[in-house]
Amino acid sequence: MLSPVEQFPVLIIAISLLSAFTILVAGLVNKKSCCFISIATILLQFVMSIVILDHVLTVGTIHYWLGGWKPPWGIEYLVDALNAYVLVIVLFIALICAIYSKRSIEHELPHKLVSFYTVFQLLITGMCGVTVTGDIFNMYVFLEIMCIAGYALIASSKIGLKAGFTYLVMGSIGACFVLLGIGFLYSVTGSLNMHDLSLLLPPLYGNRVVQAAFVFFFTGLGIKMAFFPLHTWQPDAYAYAPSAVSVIIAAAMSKVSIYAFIRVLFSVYTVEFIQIYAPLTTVISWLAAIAIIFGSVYALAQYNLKRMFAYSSVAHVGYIMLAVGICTSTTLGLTPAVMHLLNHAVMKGCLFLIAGAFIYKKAELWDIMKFPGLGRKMPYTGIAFIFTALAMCDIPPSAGFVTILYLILAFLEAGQFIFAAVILFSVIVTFCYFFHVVEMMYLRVGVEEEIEKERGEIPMSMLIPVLVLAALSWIVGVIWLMKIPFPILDAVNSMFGLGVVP
Amino acid sequence: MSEEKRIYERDVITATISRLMIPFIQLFALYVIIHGASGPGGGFQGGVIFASSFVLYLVVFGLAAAGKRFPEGANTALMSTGVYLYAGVGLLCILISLGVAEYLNYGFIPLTHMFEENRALGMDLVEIGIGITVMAVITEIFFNLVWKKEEEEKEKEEPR
Amino acid sequence: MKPLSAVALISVLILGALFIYVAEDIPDFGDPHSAPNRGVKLFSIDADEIEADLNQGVIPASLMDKIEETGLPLPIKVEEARGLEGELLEGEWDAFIIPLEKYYALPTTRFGTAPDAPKEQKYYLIMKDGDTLDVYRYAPVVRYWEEGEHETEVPNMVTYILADYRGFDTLGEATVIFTAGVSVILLLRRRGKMPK
Repeated sequence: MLSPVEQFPVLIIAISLLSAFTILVAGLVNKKSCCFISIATILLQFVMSIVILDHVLTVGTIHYWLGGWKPPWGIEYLVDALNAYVLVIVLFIALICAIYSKRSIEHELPHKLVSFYTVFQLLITGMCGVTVTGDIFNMYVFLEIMCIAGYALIASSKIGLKAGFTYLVMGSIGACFVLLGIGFLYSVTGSLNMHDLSLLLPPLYGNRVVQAAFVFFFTGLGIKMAFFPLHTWQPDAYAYAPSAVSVIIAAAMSKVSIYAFIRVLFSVYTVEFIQIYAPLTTVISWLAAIAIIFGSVYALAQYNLKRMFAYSSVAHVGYIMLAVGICTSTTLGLTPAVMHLLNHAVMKGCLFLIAGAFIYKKAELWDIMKFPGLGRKMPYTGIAFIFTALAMCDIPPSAGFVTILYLILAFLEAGQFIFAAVILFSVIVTFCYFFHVVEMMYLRVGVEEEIEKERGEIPMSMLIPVLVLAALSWIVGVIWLMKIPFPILDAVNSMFGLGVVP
Repeated sequence: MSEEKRIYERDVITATISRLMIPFIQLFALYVIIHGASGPGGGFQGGVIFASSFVLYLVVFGLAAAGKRFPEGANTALMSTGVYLYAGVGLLCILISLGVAEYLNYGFIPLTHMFEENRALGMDLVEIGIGITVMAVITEIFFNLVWKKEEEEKEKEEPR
Repeated sequence: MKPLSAVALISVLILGALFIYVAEDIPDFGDPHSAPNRGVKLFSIDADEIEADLNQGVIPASLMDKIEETGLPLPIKVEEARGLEGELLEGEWDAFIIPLEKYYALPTTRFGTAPDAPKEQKYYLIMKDGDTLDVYRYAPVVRYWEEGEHETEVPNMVTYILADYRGFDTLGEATVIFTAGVSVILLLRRRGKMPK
C-alpha cells in the first residue's frame, strides 16, 4: 500500500503541469489572475516538498513505480535525502521569485503577462522533474523542458534576444551531448534506471563506450551549469534577462544542473569509477580552481552590476566543483558541495533581487558608475545589500563563511594547500569588488553626477522577498554552524559510500 | 471584399482543390490518431496531419481569411486542452482508485471489466490528447510566424 | 582561415577521433545477441554440478550467492528455455522472479484469477558455453515483445511502449511541444488582432 506521502513527488509535478495549462486558459478571461494562480501553486508545492523531506529523513527513501511497472520495465521515482533537499531549495527560491515578480514583470513586460507566467510555471515543472526522478531518460526529458523554458524567458525582454539565442545554441549542443551519453549507456547495458545501471556497470568500467559516455555527460552538464570553459553564454544571459528571470535562473537552475551532475557521477558511475580513474578528480579540481580565479578577476573588471554577479556565479560554481573534486580524499565527503548549494542559492538570489530592484527604480541603474547617492534614496534595499555583501565576503557566522570553513577543513585534511590559497585569493577579490559597489552607493555623494531619482523605496511586495533572503543568508549560516541539518549530509555521504578515506 | 475576390479569381484551381481536399485530410488525420493502436500512427503523427490542413488553408486563402476561421483564443484553449487530458487521465488513475494505483496506471480506471482492456482504452484517450495539443501548437507557430513576416513587409513598404 | 572555421574544424576532428575510439566496443546495430536486444552478461560460473540441478528445476546455492553479490533480485524458479514456437532449447535455462506489481486488483484478467496466481517474469538467462555457464540478465525489450500484447491488448508495439510502459516520458514530450508553442506566443505575438 502506498501512503499518501509517497504520492507527493508525482503530485508536485502533476499539479505544476496542470497549473501551467490553467494559467494559459485563465489568461483569456482575466490577465491579472495569472500571477496569483502561479503563487498559489508554488506555495502548495513548497508545503508538499517539506513534508517529503520530513518523510525521507524519518521513514526512509521513497520508491515509486510510475504506471505500476517495476523497473527496468517502467519509470521509477527514487526520492532520497539529496533529492528532497534540492527540491526544497528550488521551490523556496521559486516562491520568493514569484512573489517578487508580480510588480517587477508588470513594469518590464506589461503585455506578455499570461505567456510569461505559463513559461515560468513550466520552468519550475522542469526543475522539479529533474530533481525527483530516478530514471536517466526521464531526467533528460525534464531537463529539456527546463532548458527550453529558460531560453524563452531570457529572450523575452527587449535586450535579451541575442543573449537568449546564444544560450539556445549552446544549451542545445549540451543537451545533445547528454542524450548521446544516455544512448551509449543504454547500448551496453540495456537499462535506463539509475539504480539498475549502478549495479550493471561495474564489470564494464574498462569498456570504451562507458568512458566516452562519462565524458559526454561531463561536457553536456558542464554547459548547463556554466563550468569554466563552457560558461561563455552566462554573463550575457544573466545581464540582459528580465529581473525575475535572472533570479530564478541564477539561484535555482544552475543548482539543478549541478545536482544532475552529482547524481550521474555518484549514483550511476559509483565511487569505484572515480577511484579507478584517479586523474578524473584532479582534472575537475584544477578546472574548478581556474574557474574560481577567472570568475573573481573578471568580476572585478565589470561596470554592469548583473554581469559582475554573473562572473561571481562562475566562481561559485567553481567552489562547488572543487568540493566535488576532493570529496573522495577526505572524511567530510560531499559536505561542502551540498552545503554550498543552499548557501549560494540564498545569497545569489538576494543579490539578483536587489539588482532587479535598482533597475525597477530607474532603468539606467544597471551601471555602477551611476550609483552615487543611492544609499540614501533606497535605505532598506541598501541595508539588505550590505548584509548580503558581507555574507558573500565570508564574515562569520554568515552562510558564505560556513562554506569556506568546511572547504578549508577538507583541503587541510587532504593536504592540498594550493587550493586553500586559491580560495583565500578569491575571498580577497570578492571583498574588493563588493566594497567598490558599496563605496559607490554610500561614500560618494555629490562628487559624481547624481541622477534624479523619482521614486522612493521599491514597493512592499518586492521589498519583503529582498529582506527575507538577506536575513536568511545569515540565519542559514547560523543553522549550519549549530549542525541542525546535518542528518541530511550524513545520509548523503553514507548513501554514496563517501566519508571513508581509503 | 474585393481583395478576396481577386485571390479567388487568380488561383481558381488551387482554391477549388483545397476546398475539396481539406475535409478529407482532416478525416485521414482522425483515422491516424485513433488507429494508432493497431497500425502505424498515433497522437503525434495524426496531430501534424491535422495541422497541415490548416496550413494549406492559410497558404491558399491568405492570413485574413484564415484568421477569421481559426480564432486565436480557441487555438490557445485547444493547446491546453490536449495536455490537460493527458495529465488529467494520470491524476484520475490515482483519485479513482483512492490512492492504491500509481500515476498513469490505466488499468485501474473501471471502464470495462478487464484490466488489460482498460489499459488499451486509457492509451487511446491519451493519444487523442496528444493529437489535439500537437495540432494546436503547429497551427499557432505557423500563424504567428506568417503574421510577423507580413508585419515586417508592411513596415518595409511604409517609408517608401 | 577565419578563427570560427578553424575552431569548427578542430572540434569536428576531435569528435571524429572520439567516435573512432569508441567504435570498437559499440555493439552492431540489429545484433540480436547484444545487450539491449537480448541481455547483458553478468558473470560466468563453472558448470560442474550445477547443470544437473538446473535440469531438475532447483537453483544451486553457489549461483544464488553470486547473484546476491551483484545486488539484483533473487530468482524463485528455473525452467528450460523455450524458443519462439515453444520448442525446448538445448543448454539454455530461464530463471524467474516475481515483480510485485499491482496487477491483480480487479477480478478478471487474462492470466487467471487474482492473488493465487502471481505473475512470474523471466529475468535471468543461463547459457552453457563449453565448460562454463554464462548468466545474463534479460533486456527489458524481451518482456515488451513477448508479453506486451497480452498485458495491454494493443497490437502495435511502438504505441504500447510509448503510452503505457514509458507513458510518463511521452507526457514530458507533449509538454516540450506545448512549451515551444507558448514560447512562440511569448516572443512573437503582437498586440492587437490579426488583419481583417
